[in-house]
Amino acid sequence: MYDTVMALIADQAVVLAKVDYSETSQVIVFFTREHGKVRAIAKGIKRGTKKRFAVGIDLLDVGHVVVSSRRERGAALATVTEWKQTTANAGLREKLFRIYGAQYVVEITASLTEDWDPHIELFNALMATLRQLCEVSEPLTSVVRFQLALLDSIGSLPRFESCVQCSRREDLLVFSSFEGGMVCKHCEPGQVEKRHVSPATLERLWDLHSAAEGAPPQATAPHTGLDPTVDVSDAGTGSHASGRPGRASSNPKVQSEYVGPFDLLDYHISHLMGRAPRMASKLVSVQVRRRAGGG
Amino acid sequence: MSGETIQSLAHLKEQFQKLPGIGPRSAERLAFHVLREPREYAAQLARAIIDVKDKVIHCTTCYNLTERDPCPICSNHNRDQGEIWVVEQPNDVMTLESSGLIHGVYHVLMGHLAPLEGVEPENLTLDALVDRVRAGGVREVVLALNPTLDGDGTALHIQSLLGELDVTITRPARGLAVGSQIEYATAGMLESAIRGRAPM
Repeated sequence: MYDTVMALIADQAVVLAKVDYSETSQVIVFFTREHGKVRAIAKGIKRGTKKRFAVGIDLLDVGHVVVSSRRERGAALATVTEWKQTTANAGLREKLFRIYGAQYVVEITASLTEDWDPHIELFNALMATLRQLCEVSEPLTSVVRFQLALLDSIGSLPRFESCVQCSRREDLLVFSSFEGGMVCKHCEPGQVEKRHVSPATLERLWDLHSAAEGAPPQATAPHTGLDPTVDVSDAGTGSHASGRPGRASSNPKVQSEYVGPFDLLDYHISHLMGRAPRMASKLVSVQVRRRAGGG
Repeated sequence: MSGETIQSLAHLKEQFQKLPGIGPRSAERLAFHVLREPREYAAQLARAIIDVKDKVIHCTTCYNLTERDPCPICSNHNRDQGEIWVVEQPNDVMTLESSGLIHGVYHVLMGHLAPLEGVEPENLTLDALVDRVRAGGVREVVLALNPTLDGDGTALHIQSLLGELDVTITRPARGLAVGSQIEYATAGMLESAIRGRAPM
């Protein structure tokens, strides 16, 4: 039976997306702390005369939302009855790369989470990432940490420390999104979808992953079987859906310790999403311009 | 009652229903209104619709809507050609003009950057703006874009495009709205107002 009782739900929320619904209304996608992703229609929000919405709801806004929903876990669109912005995160709007970093983060969150499926740790990670991005001079550090937090939260964190096929910790050579982690050089010939990973990228990912889990960095770092001083390009060798090669990492000017991990995790995220995140290329290109002396 | 459909009336209702914000009942009301009025009224309405399609063009300098090119603002020698107000839409020009305070000229971007929605720089009139500034004689570019995330992103993109040129880039003040109450201000409004406070 369909439950027709309307429930009022109040929660902290971040605005992941907004789409025009009519001349005066918008559908807002919130990521809430206790209720996960919630889609709700904000009636009359574009008219600007509704006291309950004050000056509208913008992308990346953080605040307190009240929605009325026919069923808490139903598929029906909820209705926004109240919204109060609580954090401005004004620092985001001072630099283009901060905006792009934040937009990338909300794009992948919106795409890889389900409606009404709460992820409190992910919500906290998102809030922390937005706060960090307000002040950073380089966005990839925060973005890569968030990529890992998101993948961990949705149960799709790849295995970096050993081969997903034979569990060998040595000679790790390629990454397979389909297999869900690293593949050693002995198992690599059987892989169709794969991407070479440089030792530097793998070690950086291992450090980040260990740090996130509280383990001492590099305490049990895997052996790649390659000379770590040689920078192997992270160029794709398989049939990546987006067809993107190892973008920024092929340019020595934009080598950064986080470009490789970002690119690899974005490759995995692209597979999960079924398309490349729109903001990925923007984020990398704005990095390129900054390092070249622009923007 | 007969189920006969009056084709011409149904067609008019169908056309009205395509207008934004018009539902079936409003479309029906409008169609009957046209039917009740004299023939001359219908002719004037039809002419006005055709005229707006035939005569209104974009100014090739500022991209504002106009019936002659260049538009009256761009061709007015009393306007300060060294001060360009960059706005998102032609409606914004009308709003700013109604203040009576702007003596410069405009540049209409025809939107804002929205990478998540696929709106890229090539979809806007950014190249024309850079060309205008590069041609010389421009002292100040005022980025009067909506204070949304996309508006701010567009402003930062323009700043990076014009960064190397000898021009001052400014934007209108932001923060508390005149006539509002601090009690009802959002966190964003307050932060902008506090950071951007001015001496008095």
